[in-house]
Amino acid sequence: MRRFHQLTRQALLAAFIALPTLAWAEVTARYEAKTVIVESTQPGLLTDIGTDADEFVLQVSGLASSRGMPFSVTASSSSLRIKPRFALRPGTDYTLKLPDGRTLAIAVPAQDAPSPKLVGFAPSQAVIPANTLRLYLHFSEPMARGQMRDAVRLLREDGTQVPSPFLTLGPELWDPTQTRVTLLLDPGRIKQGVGPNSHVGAPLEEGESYRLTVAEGMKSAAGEPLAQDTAIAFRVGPAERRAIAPETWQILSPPVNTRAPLTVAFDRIMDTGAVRRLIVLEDMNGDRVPGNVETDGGGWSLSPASNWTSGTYRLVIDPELEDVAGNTPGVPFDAEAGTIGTVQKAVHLLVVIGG
Amino acid sequence: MSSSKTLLSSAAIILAGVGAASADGVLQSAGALAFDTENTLFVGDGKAGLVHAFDLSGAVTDQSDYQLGRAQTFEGRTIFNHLDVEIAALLGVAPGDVVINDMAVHKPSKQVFLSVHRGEGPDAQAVIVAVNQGGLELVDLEATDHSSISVGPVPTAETLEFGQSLNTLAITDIDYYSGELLVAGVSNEEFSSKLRRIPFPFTNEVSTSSIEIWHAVHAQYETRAPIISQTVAEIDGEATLIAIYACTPIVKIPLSELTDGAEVRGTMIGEMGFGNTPLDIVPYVNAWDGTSNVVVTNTNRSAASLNIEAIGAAEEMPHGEGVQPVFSVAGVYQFPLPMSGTLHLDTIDETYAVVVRHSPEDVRNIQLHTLAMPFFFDRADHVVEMNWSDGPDPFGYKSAPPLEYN
Repeated sequence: MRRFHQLTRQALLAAFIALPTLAWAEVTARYEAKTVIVESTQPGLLTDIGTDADEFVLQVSGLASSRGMPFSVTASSSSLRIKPRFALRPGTDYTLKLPDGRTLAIAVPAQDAPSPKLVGFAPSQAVIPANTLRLYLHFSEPMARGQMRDAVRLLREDGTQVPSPFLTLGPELWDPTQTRVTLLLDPGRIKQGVGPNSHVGAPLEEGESYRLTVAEGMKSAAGEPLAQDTAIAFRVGPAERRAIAPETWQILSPPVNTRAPLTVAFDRIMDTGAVRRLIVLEDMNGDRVPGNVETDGGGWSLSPASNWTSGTYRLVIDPELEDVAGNTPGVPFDAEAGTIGTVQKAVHLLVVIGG
Repeated sequence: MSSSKTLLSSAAIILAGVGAASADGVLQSAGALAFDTENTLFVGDGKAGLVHAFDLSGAVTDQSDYQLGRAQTFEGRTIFNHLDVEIAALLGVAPGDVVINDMAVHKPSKQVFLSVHRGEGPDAQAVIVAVNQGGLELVDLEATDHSSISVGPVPTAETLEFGQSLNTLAITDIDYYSGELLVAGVSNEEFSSKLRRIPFPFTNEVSTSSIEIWHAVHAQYETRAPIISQTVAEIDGEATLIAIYACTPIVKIPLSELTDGAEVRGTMIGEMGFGNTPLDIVPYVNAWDGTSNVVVTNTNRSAASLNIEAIGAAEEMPHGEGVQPVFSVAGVYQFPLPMSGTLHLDTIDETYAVVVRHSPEDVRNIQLHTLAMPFFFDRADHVVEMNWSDGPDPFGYKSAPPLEYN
């Protein structure tokens, strides 16, 4: 008997819950081809609703705001077509309020996106200078901005964290594809014998080993997290405080009539980004020699697009070229009193091929 | 004795890409904002390596009827609570996908404009949002006259061919002064102190100055550090650049000295302390005493006000061999302002400033809020005696009628 009552109550309850659904089920909304399509099984119902966009509200579900996205509305005999100013985001639930008070849910399905991975780090050498200024992290997927401060840690060998090792700038320094980010170690802590350096110490100490960790959960632009904590290990060697001296580089001339690379071995670890951009080989006419440039910071090579012809080439080194410690040709990063004020010019090294 | 020098190597001449706005791709990104003295809005677009100029003559709406607060009782107006949520509703994304990059006020109309990104990926859409009578509107940039100029480094056909398009400039500040723009930025591949001067209307030239300065924190010459924020003020009738560097020294340089190829002195006159990055430097006039000042907001410290006359009179800070490092705030006197959690700041008129800030009561609440100058102080934000029922009432707050906003 008691069970019968229970069943009756449940049936009644179900009917009450179902009632409104049944009454409103004649209007549906879906999103396709960047358009929200509202359809009704009841003829004439949508015509009565009208196309005054100000009477509709389209927004992400659950926002505490009465505001909605801008869009335009057009009507046909059986549907309303709502074209939002911005494409709806995949994996997001939206709510459309119609002028007659109906509220329609629109679920935009998530798109499959690969999990991002940390795939590279520069400088890639096992030992880097104690006064390293700039680090690059390379990811396999475009990443979302705004996470670096929380995601990246510098740890000592014993697992303790180096406090505030990086310069905190408002904007994060991503490349246009957002697969490479630049980290600047705080220059105030790098410069020798200066306040922050002697007060809190350099971020990196010679002879020590470190791990730079990128936290799991750091998200790609598509919202996929790094699957696990990733650590990059390196040791720290002596600081590099000399200006770049291109005349000390070792240049290996390729044989003529081949496409063998012209290679340059540096005397230190250079900034890979700067090296790619600021070292150029010019031919006898002063034209840039096209080809494929490779660098790991320790050297530079150019494999030409066509065979080498004999002649005297010029390796042009821009005065803004930097090594990993921020030293430039002619001027070290730690410039001593009285050494500034020298106008720097591009350095030209002559390379004879086939001579 | 050696003195600090500013080396001005100049000379990057870069072609201006002046063209009409079209389609949705006017902005690849929207960062630093500035207005000229009329209706032109400048937008820093670091991703495209451009500074855009939009003529908003037909788009600005007068806001002088919109009540901003009650300055005599130190009451500012919260124009928006949860500004990020409100913008998210406008843009059709979750609040976490809204990034407010900068704010500028169009002074003739008192209208507030925001540069906003919809999303955080490389495909984030960049928009300009206008505040209109307590509402939010998207600015239709396609309907405006538009021009732009390259501030490099932008990928050219040649650099793309060689696969070298990774270098970008994060534009941190734009200022308009007397027919030209000053553009500061941080490169992701160079640690340099380049300051760009660009005549407006855009011609075809950008002059690039590398300014080397004395840096007190380091107690030796600082060869290179990016300028984060700057403004131009007249000091003894001379237009002077007041620049704040990444490691927080404050430097003044007469604009007239920033000419091509000249070697000039940059005078370091103050220091904001290390472990801190400046956000904005904004000029204002103290209506109570008529003095000219700048206010500096910071990431890790409360804001400070510096008097222009004091900046003008400030002696160069000691430097050279034997000088002990300066660890904390030093140099020209800085008047502390009770303003923290500030994300963006601009002045609206002679009485009010406006901030995007974390609410002092709930840091999760991003507010658009006005503050009465010259103290940038809102009575309601603080535990002060005049809030207490039996406390003193020197400004007649208790006898003032409750504020009712339009």
